[in-house]
Amino acid sequence: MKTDRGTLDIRRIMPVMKKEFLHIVRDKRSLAIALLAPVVLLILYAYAITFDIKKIDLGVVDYDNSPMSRELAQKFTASGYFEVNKNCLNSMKKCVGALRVNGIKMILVIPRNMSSDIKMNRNVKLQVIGDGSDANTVSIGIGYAGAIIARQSQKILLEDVRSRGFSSGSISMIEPVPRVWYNPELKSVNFIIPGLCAIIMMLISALLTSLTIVREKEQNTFEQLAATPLKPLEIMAGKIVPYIALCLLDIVIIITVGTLWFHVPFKGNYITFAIFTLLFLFCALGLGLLISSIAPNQQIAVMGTALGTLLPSILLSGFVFPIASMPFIIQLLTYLVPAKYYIVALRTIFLKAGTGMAVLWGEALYLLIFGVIFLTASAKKFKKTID
Amino acid sequence: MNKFKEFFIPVKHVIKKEVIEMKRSKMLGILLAAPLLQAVVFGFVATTDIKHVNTVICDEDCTVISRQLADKFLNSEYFNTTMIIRDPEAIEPELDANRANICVRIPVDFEKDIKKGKRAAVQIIGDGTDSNSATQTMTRAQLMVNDFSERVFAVKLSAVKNVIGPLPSLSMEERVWYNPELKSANVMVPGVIGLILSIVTLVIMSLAIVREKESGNIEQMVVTPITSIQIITGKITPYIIIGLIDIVTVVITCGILFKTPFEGSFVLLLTLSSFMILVNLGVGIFISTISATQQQAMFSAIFFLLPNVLLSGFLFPIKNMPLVLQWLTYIIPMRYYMVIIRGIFLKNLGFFELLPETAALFVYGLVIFTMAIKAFKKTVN
Repeated sequence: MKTDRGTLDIRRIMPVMKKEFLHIVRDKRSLAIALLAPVVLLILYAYAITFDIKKIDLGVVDYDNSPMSRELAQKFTASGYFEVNKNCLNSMKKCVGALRVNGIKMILVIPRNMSSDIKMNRNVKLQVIGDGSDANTVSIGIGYAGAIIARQSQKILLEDVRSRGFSSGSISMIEPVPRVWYNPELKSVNFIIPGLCAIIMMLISALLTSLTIVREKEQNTFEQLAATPLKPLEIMAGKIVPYIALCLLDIVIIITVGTLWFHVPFKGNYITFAIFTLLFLFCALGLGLLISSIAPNQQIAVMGTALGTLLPSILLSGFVFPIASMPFIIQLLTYLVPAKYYIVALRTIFLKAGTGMAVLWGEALYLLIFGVIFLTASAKKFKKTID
Repeated sequence: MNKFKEFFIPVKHVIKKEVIEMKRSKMLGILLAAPLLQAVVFGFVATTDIKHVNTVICDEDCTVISRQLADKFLNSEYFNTTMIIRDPEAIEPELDANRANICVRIPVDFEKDIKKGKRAAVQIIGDGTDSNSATQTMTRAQLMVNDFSERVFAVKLSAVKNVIGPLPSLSMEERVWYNPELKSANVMVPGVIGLILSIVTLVIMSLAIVREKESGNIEQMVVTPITSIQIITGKITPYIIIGLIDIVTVVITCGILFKTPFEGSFVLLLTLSSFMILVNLGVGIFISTISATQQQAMFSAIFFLLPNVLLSGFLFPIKNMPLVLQWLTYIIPMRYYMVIIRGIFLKNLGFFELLPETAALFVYGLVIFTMAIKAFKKTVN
């Protein structure tokens, strides 16, 4: 029996919404997780997570043991980038052992005769050994070590030049002066909120809604629903609206906690923010519905949604890993990930004052197009399933 | 011998049932393919190396020396120079519009100041929006300027040496042990293997028992003479085997695709990985027994996984975290597995060197399984 294609009746949707809403509220644990998880993540990102490399565990083996060698070792500690490990101090055997089991990350070896060689105007080679199994830390650490040694070398040199009565005036230093715009304290938490909003929306609107619909399929209640006077689109709408509400509540919580507690700046426009959030919601819902229309049971729905929405949103959106560092083919793939556009838009809105739709219209367009494609595809699939 | 058989025959039946269900729901295929797919994508994507950052060079000096400095950035794989400009006013629009993330600004009189021996400052302006990338990129840029400074210094010095004679100097000889090319992929890929394995086994296991609850099968199982321990053993066995198969396929594929070195013992990897698989399965079962619906179980699993991944040392060094959180990481099983897997892949660590981590996983496994069995017994009664 084909139903008429009139407008959706709110009075018929209400009971479905109520039922779904009751389901959500009755599952207190999931509700608590849905509302608390973003706050927990915010806390972690605010306090735990940083790529800033400081206090690298360093083992020092000083075979020279002179005031000069001690001054050099001291410079490493004084820089703030290194922390000298006292347990393996001056024992190469212990340092190597510690390096192996991640006790220290680098070793500085000062050769015997350092001071005497310096006094005789020779070049002294300092060995710096790094544990490549922590490539990131060690790569930067070696850079720091090189800079510290170079600076100390310059100092020794200039002292020597001056002591021989020559002026060191013509020898200058070129200094890099860092300036950070838009997030001067480089707080990670400022950067995570857009990604967090995207993930939460994907999680709730895509994953949860797909589960909801597949659950009905699994339990074969769809046929029962089809026998009621409800139109299929009304059923879908009724089921989805409570989750949208939950989603938006989550976003409000994230923004409130972020701005009030963690003092994340919000320099942009609330309206632009709302527009983008709704556009992305539109997309996430579309994706979730599409996957649920294809999945035969809940387990596949979970895996499919996780693979198709959550994982790309985390990995390929630029949220954690910078897109520019990925291989070219993968970079092309990221153009298909809606979360990428949302995150770029949100970051700009949060941290760059005065930018609005003028700069971000491209992102908005992409999200709109994606949303329309996903929703039309899933609506088609549903009509086929139910009719 | 008879007691042994007595125990295992019902277990065999539970295993058979589980495998048939897996095949019917097509989960088996997913369990073998999904980790592989995820590991490959992750392997391509996961890198802590920030390269090809869009850079604007603002050269206000336009002299030989300033161009030499600009060249350094042009030739570096860490920086992708999009434009070289002269006017500092043009910097802001580029950064505002995300067309560049960093700007190197060489001031007027750069060459003059260097020749006169005055201090010359090079501004490095970074877009702090992505603070993680910005931190790394700014550090690299500063190190590059420092390097340039040394070269200029060395040139001046040789002029001085011609007058004075030999001069003392210090130089650094760098050696990298384990992963000598410092390839980020070699560190990420083993970590990813551990990650994917944990996620898949944990999520699937957390649905396993709840599924029975939801479809009412639990009551049917209760009336049989099978004990809780037999049910649990039967349920986890197929997943342990699948998990180990997954490790083998992922390690081989990643080895071929990413040329990740494998220095250690494969047998040790499989043995210690089974400890980790067991821990994950234990957590999964525990979550499954205390959840009422599959949705609730999945949510709880994800809630457990998130801090697990973030605090495991996979991406963010534990050493950089505040002390309290560092202590917290001791109850995160993934932390130990990261050490194990990276140690075996890159450093050829042996059983005794990995003993502390193995012991930690063993204890964790014991505790979580005891909790899971207790909770299961409660559900069943």
